[in-house]
Amino acid sequence: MTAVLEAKSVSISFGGIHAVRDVGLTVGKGEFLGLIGPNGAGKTTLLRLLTGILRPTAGAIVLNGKDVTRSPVDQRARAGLAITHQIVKPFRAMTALENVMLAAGHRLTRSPTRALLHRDRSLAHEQAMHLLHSVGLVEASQKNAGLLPLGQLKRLEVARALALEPEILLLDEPLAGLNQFEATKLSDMIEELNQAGLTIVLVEHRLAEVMRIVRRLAVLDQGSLMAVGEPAEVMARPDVRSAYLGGH
Amino acid sequence: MSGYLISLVPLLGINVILAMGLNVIAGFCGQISLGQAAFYGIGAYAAALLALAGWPLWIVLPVVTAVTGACGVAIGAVSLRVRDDFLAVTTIAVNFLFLGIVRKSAIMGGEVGLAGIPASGLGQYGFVALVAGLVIATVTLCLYIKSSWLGFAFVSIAEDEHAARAIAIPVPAFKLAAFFIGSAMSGLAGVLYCYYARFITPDAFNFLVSVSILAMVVIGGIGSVWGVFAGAILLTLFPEIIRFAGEYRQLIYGAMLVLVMRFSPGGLAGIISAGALKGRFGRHRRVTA
Amino acid sequence: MYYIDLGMQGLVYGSMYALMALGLTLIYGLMRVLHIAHAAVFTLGAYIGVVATNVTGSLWIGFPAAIIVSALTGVLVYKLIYAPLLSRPPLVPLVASVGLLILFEDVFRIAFGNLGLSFESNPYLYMTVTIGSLSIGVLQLAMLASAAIILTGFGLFVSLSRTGIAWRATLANPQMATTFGVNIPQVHCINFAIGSALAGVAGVLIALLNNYVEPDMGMVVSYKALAIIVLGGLGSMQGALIGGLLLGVAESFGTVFLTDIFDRDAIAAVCLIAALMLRPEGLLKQRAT
Repeated sequence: MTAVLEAKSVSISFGGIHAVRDVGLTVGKGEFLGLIGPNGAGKTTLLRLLTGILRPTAGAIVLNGKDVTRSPVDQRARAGLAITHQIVKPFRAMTALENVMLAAGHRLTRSPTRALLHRDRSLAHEQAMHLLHSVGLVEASQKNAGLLPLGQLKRLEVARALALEPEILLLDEPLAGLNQFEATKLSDMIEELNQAGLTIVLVEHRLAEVMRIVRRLAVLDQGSLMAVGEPAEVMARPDVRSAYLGGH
Repeated sequence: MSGYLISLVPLLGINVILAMGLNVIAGFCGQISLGQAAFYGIGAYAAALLALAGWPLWIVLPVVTAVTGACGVAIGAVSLRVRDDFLAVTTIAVNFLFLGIVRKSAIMGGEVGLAGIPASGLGQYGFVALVAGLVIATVTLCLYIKSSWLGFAFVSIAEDEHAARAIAIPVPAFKLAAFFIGSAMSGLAGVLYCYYARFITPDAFNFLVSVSILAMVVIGGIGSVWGVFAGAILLTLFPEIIRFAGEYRQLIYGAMLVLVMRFSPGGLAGIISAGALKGRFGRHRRVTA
Repeated sequence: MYYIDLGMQGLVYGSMYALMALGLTLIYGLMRVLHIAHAAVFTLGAYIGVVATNVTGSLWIGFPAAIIVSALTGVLVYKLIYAPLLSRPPLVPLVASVGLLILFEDVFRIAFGNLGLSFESNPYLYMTVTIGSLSIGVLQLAMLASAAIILTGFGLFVSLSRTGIAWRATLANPQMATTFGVNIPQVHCINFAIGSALAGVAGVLIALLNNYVEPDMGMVVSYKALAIIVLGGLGSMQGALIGGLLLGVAESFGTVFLTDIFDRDAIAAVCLIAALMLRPEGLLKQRAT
């Protein structure tokens, strides 16, 4: 299985605190990896290292065989790494449709000159409507993103990420803040995306949903990778149980 | 009477172009620039020096415009690695830096300035036609940018740079593009001012002038091309229409800025199209309560 | 000897900058909007100091009057201008602040005349004190001493007292502080009161030193204070202090050695831009994102 994304001995410290220690992770094509861990384990930090918001103090990040450790967020996005944020970041001044359209037009926003020379939005419009349809947001397409409820904003994040035609999708706690019904719907949708072939890494706190849909599970504790493997097996391990459920 | 009006047109045109330039940087791309007068000044001084050296208008105009744009890129590049707040302060600092250099420079006439700048060679009506033509070109360019993918990307950068990066937009390059365009426009206005006034002093490009340009953009409606156009025209004509207003100009500008921000941050354009700018200026919870 | 004199002079002005920058840091630390209008209370303090002293004949009335008026004005500015705007995008309060600054300046001009005011009797002006082999003006010494006392006292209060610690905690995490029952708007008021009082003190001291106040004396100081807090690491009090002193000294030496290239006010800009190119985070490492 070809590796889409690899973290190689990645570490980062903030003023003496080792937030992530020597983490090595490989995500293969078509995989569905869940990343869990107690609060403060370093999940968000690891995700930020993968997406490029943070640079590691040691180690490397490799995307599709290319070393992207020094690459900024937008270059990684352009290389195929899409992300949805824990705290949603819609462009509130635009409609839901425009949010997705802008992402769909990623080929045209490669450089300012190229962007200046193109005006036609019809192709992006079509692609965006298609994506909004697949996440169930067609009725909300003309509404200003600032007016949408959280559940819809979460789905908008996903649609916008998908518009990048990514190789891999990183989801940062997409279910946070949703009620059980909305959470189940969203996790079902994420599962369908993976079944259609999209490589996914899911960072999540809601264990039940994670266990239900992921196919491989990684557990982070105090910055280190504690266990990686088949979900049921990993959760059955006593050290994982005590770290996650026993608390520190 | 018509002579007076004719002499007013270049001034109107210059202010419109200045306002358009700031609107691209701050209105379209959301980068706070409080130092546009510096680029106005660079344009004016560069044009003056070249004109005094004998260069013809038709070379001076494009060369100085491009060079000023490049200066804008340089300043933008300095501010790229840093946060929003730094940018506001950096642009104010650029203003004082420019003045500080000019005031001490013998070549640029120091405190006294440069006089005896040759005429444009177009005659009075010719010059007015040139200004009018450039205004039309500038406004058209701004409208075009807004409708293009550049404008589309700018909106996202203005609101949330991180999110814009997450959808593969190379934010630094786009910001520099905004700085280039906006500074080039300010430089162009400077060239026109140089041939209009034929005498320039450092005081014409101080921080207050930057604030006046900001006022035109903000009162007209930041981000709106027609709003800013109207704002520039109104604020330029204001002291002409109301004689005493010239005396209290600073007071009025200041008061208007405060009142507009307090009651209608979208400016005139915001009042006219209440919905359009709501997303931009709508209330949202900021992290620091 | 000459260099020591220059250095002393630099520290004197530096302590004024430090007072201004500290006040600005207090305010910015929680509000996270650049209070560009801070200079207005500086100038106000200076004017009130001069006017009250001239009218009552006593500096012991004039000085406190200036401080109280500055503090109150600062709080009013927060309540009337910033408080309603903090929920809007950062551009809005920033532009309002700029408008407020130029508005105040013109109000001073209209109220007190644009030729400036002086103390009617300023016996300290030419008094000097000899320490060892150094002769220093009484007022310069007073400036240094009061700045030192205030800054040390403040520093101690903030690090050691319960209120100080609680206050720092609020700055670090306002949302958390709210859950502990801290009233954020009240803390803003305190910050504005103290910060503006500091500016008032700086204003009166400068008025004494130069024996002269004029409407636009604040503008330049404002931009320098902003540059200092950016250089010192936004929100860092030590940074404001050190940055202020360093700038004063840099200007002192800079005006002598660089007099053919820049004027005095551009030196802050040069320092700022140079520092930003080399170390974007600010001179003192600030809080992590």
